[in-house]
Amino acid sequence: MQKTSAAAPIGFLTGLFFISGIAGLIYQVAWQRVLFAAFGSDLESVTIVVSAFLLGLGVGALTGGRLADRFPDRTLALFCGLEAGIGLYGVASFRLMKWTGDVFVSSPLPMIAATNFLLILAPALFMGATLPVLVAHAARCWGNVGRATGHLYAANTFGAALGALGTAFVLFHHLPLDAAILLAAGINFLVAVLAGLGLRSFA
Amino acid sequence: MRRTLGWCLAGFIGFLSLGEEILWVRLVTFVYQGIPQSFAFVLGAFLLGVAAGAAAGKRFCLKWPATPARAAGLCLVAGGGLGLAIPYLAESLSELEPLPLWLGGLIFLASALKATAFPVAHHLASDVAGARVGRSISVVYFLNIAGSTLGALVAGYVLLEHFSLGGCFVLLGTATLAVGVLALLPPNPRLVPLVLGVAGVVALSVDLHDHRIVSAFGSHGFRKIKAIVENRHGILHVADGGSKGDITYGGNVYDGRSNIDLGVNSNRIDRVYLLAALHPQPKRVLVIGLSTGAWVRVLSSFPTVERMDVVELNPGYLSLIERYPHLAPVLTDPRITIHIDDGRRWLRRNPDETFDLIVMNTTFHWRANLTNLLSQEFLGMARTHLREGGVLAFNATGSPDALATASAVFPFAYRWSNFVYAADHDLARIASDAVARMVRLSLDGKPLFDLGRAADRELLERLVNTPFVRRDDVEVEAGRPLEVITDANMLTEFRYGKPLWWFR
Repeated sequence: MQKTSAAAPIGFLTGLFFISGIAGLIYQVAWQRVLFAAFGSDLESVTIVVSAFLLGLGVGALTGGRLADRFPDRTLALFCGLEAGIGLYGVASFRLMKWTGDVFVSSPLPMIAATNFLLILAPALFMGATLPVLVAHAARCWGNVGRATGHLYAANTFGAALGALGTAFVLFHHLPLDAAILLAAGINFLVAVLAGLGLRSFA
Repeated sequence: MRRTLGWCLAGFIGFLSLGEEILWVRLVTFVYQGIPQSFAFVLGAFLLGVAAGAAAGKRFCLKWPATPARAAGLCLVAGGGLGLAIPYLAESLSELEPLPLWLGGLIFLASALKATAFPVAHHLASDVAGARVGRSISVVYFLNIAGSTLGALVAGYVLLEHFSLGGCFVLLGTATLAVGVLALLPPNPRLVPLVLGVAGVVALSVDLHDHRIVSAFGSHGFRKIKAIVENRHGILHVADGGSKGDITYGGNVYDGRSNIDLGVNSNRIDRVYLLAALHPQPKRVLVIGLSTGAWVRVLSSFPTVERMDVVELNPGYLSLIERYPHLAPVLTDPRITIHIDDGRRWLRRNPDETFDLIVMNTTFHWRANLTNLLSQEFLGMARTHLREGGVLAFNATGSPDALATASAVFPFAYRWSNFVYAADHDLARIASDAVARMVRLSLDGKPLFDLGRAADRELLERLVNTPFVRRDDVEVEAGRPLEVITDANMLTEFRYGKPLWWFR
């Protein structure tokens, strides 16, 4: 793995993290729809999807924190890998969720809940890991964790808000679900490529 | 102590923020009658608030690096007060225009005030100087997300099941106020039970089952509300409809009337009576959506019906049906089994069940997730559950594409009123004995029609002689090429759903 300077520009990372937030919420809104069609759209399904997404982010955050401490000089490389991982899952996700829905629909409800949970948990783990990786980097540069967290979390969440609003008010009027998910995967790959280019520039 | 305060703050604000987000989703979905953009609207406003709050929290950490919790505490107190006030502001809020701006602004403000504590929690609990900075950050983030997960579960499963939406706002608002006060005061574990005790007294002193929000935003016009059911599945309310039958609203949308009289026909109950003319002897019937129970009651009058399965998402309808003696028998009729489940999922999980009639008085096609009952994939599945000579009937609620989709799945599909009737045989040729079949319909041993009465004769003749409308005619009416609805394109919800200007 190529090493990057600990001082990879935070403005650059902020921009990437903002774009990554857009993709994250396109996924959340679109995956919910795919899973509702596959497993049902009652309160139980909604709760499973939302809590799996959140728990994935949480466990991913713990993993990301460990990665950030183990590879403090490789922030961009880690971020690049995580984004590419989300994008790869995104490409496969529509078919995977529909296929899983067909296979497990007759299973007992706890099994359906567990399947739903795992389908969302996997990519959310990657998404959750990105924040501590970038915040740890910014905190080392600035010497203030509150400032680093506030800055990067705000950028990512702002992107997420645009992603949520854009998906329901614009994207779904023009694109079917599968295409919207592929668009989000494309955004992840774009972020990964930009992070990769940054990796070379700041090395 | 500083680290513990940071961890507690992270967990509690996650819990309170996500709990309140669930309440906002319920409120906005009710106000905007379940249009699919409601969820994203709340999520967007909520996340913008989180972003702004996080940016403000960052400034607190820079400006007051030793005591940022006080500033965050003040924000939480303000946020708690705002949450507490929502049910009491509902009446005034419902009159403000443009409403989305006001609602979005409130959601933004409520989430921003709480989110200010997130960077502060990191600031207090993270170890910036050590080699474990990443881990210390991730622990705080994890606690925040664990709190968020719990908040969503508690609000969605527990609070909304036991209290009204207004009551839930009061409970979470009071809890936010308490956390804010604790963050403001000097750290002292002895203060915790005192502050929580005071908060408990405040919360319990108000009516946690008050229905102010439903009364303020309900779309029942000037009609008197006769009943309200709020549970974790949604909000149902019934308005006085006089002699034409009370009107039930599900999620603030017209759901049906209690009328079963073909002569009154205020709820176009003729669409279900027509089924007696379309099938000579239906034995097994599936009904997706119970609603007022009027449709199921009429279907139970078909003398050949041996078993009827009814699938309904919200058990709250059962308690509303109990109030109407002429409908209540659907709850005790031994031929009728009511399943509390998602209709599509129930069909998929019962692949061997087949029916003579599948009936869905589906809600408006523009509401969230209606694609799941109108799409080519679902209608194809429903077709595999029909017996020979079986008929699928569903409400297209004005969507011409719903008929196009049924036509793509079935060899024969027609529109009658706003319903689509589809089958593998040609339904348009109504049997000559259709009127005689209808005369055999009876409830509690009493025939519903008497051909000796001129009014009954006229009603039934009109019913069987009203022509079906073909797909091509509907296409001409629509003035555009009709399209097939699929799970992926969600046409009726988005492209041909409610126009965005309606969201006002």
